[in-house]
Amino acid sequence: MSILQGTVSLKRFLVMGPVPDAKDLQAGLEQDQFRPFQDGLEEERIGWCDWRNPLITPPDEDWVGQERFAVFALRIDTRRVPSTLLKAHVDLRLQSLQKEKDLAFVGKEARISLADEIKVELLRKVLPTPKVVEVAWDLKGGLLWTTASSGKAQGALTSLFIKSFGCEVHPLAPLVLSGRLCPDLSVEALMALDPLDLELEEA
Amino acid sequence: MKPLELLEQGRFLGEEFLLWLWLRSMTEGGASGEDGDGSGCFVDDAIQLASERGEVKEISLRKGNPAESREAFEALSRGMRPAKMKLRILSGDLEWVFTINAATLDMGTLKLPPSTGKAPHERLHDRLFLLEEGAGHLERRLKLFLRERSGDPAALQEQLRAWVLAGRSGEVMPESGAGSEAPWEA
Repeated sequence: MSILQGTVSLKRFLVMGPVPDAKDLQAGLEQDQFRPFQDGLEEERIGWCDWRNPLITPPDEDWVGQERFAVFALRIDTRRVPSTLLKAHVDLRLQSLQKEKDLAFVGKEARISLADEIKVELLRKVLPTPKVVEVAWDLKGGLLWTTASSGKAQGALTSLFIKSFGCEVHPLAPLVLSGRLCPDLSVEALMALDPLDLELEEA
Repeated sequence: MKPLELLEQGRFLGEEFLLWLWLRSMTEGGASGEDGDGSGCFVDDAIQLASERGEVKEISLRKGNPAESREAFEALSRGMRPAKMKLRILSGDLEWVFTINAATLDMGTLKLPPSTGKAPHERLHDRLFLLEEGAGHLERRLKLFLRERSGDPAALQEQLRAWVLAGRSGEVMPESGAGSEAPWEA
């Protein structure tokens, strides 16, 4: 699903905090741009990329500014070694180690260290699974439109957003949206309303 | 208040907004009620009703015309509330179709009117404009609902109860619109 084509699932957030100027915005995008996996045990990588192509990092400044919107994307890469495969590799390596060094038993710490070593080796062979969610930040309206539909992607977006731009984002749920649309109706007054009772006695 | 608490506290408002849209879809030709607004908003072919009480917690009505089905009104009269609903908004030649979630008011599987832009940035501008237009139609209605809801809750409750009663007994609620012309065609 994409803002650019086809059907799209949208979530909106209210952005709280000072809107950065173009320079600070780009600095935030560069600072937390998506960086591919390096050696190590990391299983997830998150960062900003260009909305046109997730391989363009940091997002191209000339394409971020779209009238009153700043448009970019969040790339979330995950890589996992299937646990059964890891266990199978560890078992074989333990067996050969015991045979080679004539050991009756391998201690827990040594086993963990061996498992980590094998995991690093296997992670190098695993192709990451990328997920890209688009973000359109209405800088004047203080709203963030995003295609992040899962709780995980929304969580990653809100955390990175505050880190990169110093702005908090809150889901535009009914009470928040109501307060924005009707500033004269306080959220407290709306919360104090009793839910309408439509239950019919003879039902 | 934490975002999750805000979400929970406002859920009933979202559910009632969906009910109000449903009511207007059937009795006002989908009109928002705002002067000069020619758009129409209709319940399409999917409604999910939910309740925390009772033996059945969730009912999904799909295909055909669930908005006018007796099953839907039976469920409403037992205290079930709309949790999700497929809506169709018409304005002139433009049409938006999407699923709205009562708790979050998120728009899912949104089908936008076609974009005329060829280049990526032209298509992006078109689509952002259309997204805002679609959301605008919904927000205009939410604003009117909030005025009605906070202004005279008893009258709205009575109107909704009468509508549920009529729907459950298979009666057709009279359209209150004066003209025969559909508002979005005006």
